[in-house]
Amino acid sequence: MERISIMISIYVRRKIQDPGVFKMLFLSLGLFVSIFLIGTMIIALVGGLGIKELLTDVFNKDLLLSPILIRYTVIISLISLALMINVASGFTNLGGEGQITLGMLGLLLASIYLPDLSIGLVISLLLIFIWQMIPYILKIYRDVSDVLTSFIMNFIALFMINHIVTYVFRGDIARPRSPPINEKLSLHYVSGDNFLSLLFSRVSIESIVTLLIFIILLYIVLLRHRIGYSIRMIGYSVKTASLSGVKIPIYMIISVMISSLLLSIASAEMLLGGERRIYYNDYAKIGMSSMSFGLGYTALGIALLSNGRSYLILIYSYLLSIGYMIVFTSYGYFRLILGTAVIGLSLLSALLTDLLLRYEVKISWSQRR
Amino acid sequence: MVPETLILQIIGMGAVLIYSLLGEIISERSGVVNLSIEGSIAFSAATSYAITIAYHNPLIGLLFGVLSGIIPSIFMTLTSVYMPLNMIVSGIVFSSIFSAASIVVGNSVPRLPQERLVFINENTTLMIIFLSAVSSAIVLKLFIGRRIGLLIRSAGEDPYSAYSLGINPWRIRMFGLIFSGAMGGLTGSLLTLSPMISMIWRENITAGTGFIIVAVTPSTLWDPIIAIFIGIFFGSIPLISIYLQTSGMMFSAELASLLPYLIALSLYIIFRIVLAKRSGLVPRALGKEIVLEERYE
Repeated sequence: MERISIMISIYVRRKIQDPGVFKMLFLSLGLFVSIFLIGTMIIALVGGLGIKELLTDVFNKDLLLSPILIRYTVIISLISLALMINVASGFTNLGGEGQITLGMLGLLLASIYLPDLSIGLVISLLLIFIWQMIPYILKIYRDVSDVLTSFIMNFIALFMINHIVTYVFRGDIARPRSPPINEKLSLHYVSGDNFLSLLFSRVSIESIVTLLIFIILLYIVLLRHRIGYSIRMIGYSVKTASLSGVKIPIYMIISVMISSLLLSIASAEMLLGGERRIYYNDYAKIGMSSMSFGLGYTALGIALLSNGRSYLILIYSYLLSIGYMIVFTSYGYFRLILGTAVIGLSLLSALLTDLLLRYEVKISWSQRR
Repeated sequence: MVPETLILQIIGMGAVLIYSLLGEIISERSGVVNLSIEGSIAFSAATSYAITIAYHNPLIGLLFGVLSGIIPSIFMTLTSVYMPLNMIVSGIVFSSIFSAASIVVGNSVPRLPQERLVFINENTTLMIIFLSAVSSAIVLKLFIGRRIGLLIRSAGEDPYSAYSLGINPWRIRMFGLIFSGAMGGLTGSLLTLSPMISMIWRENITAGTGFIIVAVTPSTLWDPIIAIFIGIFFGSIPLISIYLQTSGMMFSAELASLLPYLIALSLYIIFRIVLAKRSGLVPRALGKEIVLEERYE
């Protein structure tokens, strides 16, 4: 009997040229959409959900321009922008989940002691700033893995919040959750019967304005300004930046401050535009069971995909929001499965895009007798 | 006076953690940080539970659990060994995907307390599991000093020099990852099959065990013998905090759940800072991809 063996060869070579914007955009969008769709379909089939129902529920004209989709696009964009500046400065921040929840805690503290929106935002900014600086300082000065540290700090933050809403600020005897946020801490929404209110009725003016300002600002600062060059140089090599005379602590503080500001606005939008209470997170689960729906992880995928180009974030966030709509149309444990898979798939598409942009990959196989 | 059952539970939980610590040690010695071990643990916990329910045999469940733990490692091998993708982010990707898959598998069978591994009685079984974990650690310690151990260490210390000497560092890293996945599979299976640990499979049964394992591995100094003590220590934290709560001490369950993460993170930071000064202890190519810019098979 003849024996045939198949040999699979993988060929990887570094690319020297920087990829152009269009190549990057097409490649990343293509991968993002295809991985997302294929993954969701496979899981939907395994979970017993009909593809036809899934498509008609999600991909209809009303939903694709619905206020809820736009709300999630804005929230995801804000978080992605925050994580993008972290990534540019060399800090792969996987602690977004914990940081968003801490931002919510800041608003709760303001609601109880000093009920004012601006004070609430300042407190949440400070809490997020401290939480971000710990892994970043450890990475820059002690070469401790920022990804692992920030990731484990999520669990610490989530269990801490669980303790607070159970014992310190419990607003309900029946189940552990915080008291409702004071009405003085409210965001402003577009009202009236016009086209704008049809689109933006579920997202605050503060969030939209912040997003637009920071998309332009970060584009100019990161890609066209000395501050951005210094921040990115720290991201490439701390040693080179230090030898080039870049004052590392100053740029660390600038990047973390911008990121914290964006995350605090996002957490305000999620808390104040939602149920206005912080809920107990059983087992400090990540993903759909958390207050931030796992956006701290999925947004990192977008931040990596955008490669420092802030305007691309809007496109990716819109697509990811459609993914989240698929998750929201499901129910029970199936919703949990989809939500968890969405996190994995968005990060996977970011990783593969990064690979194909930086390396030339050829896969071939041959038969041997 | 500490009750006997608490000691047995600590031994049982400690043994479960020792297995995955040993897997992570071998993987990190070969240069790969295997964060997908969380996915291996979650997926194998669900598959071993489902197979045990289907075949009414916990040993078959254990076997399938170990095999299913290898699957995330195979994907991890493709992305982090044969392709130069970020190891930590790849690990989180496959942890997420296989955690989602574990929910599908776990919910595919009825939630019944399944038959568990009981050889003579529950206490003896726990002791057998513990002793086998300890003996595995001793055997691995012996292997690290031999040829196979040197090969593994060469891939983790300087893969390029190893390659120039005719060693295939990709294959060694693949072996390290698969071993780590199998050990993660064993841990996951024991979480649902071992007596006195869990009666039934539930979502989030791992409670981030894999992430804790990755965080505490540096504190073992990549030594299997130290892993025994670290495993027992981390196995004891949740049980001791439950014991303290039930014995009337003011200790919130939420803060008790936070404790393993806090200790693991503190240990990780301290050991990374201390070990950075003593460079001989950390595998030099840990977390670094190998790109030779030529064909490899």
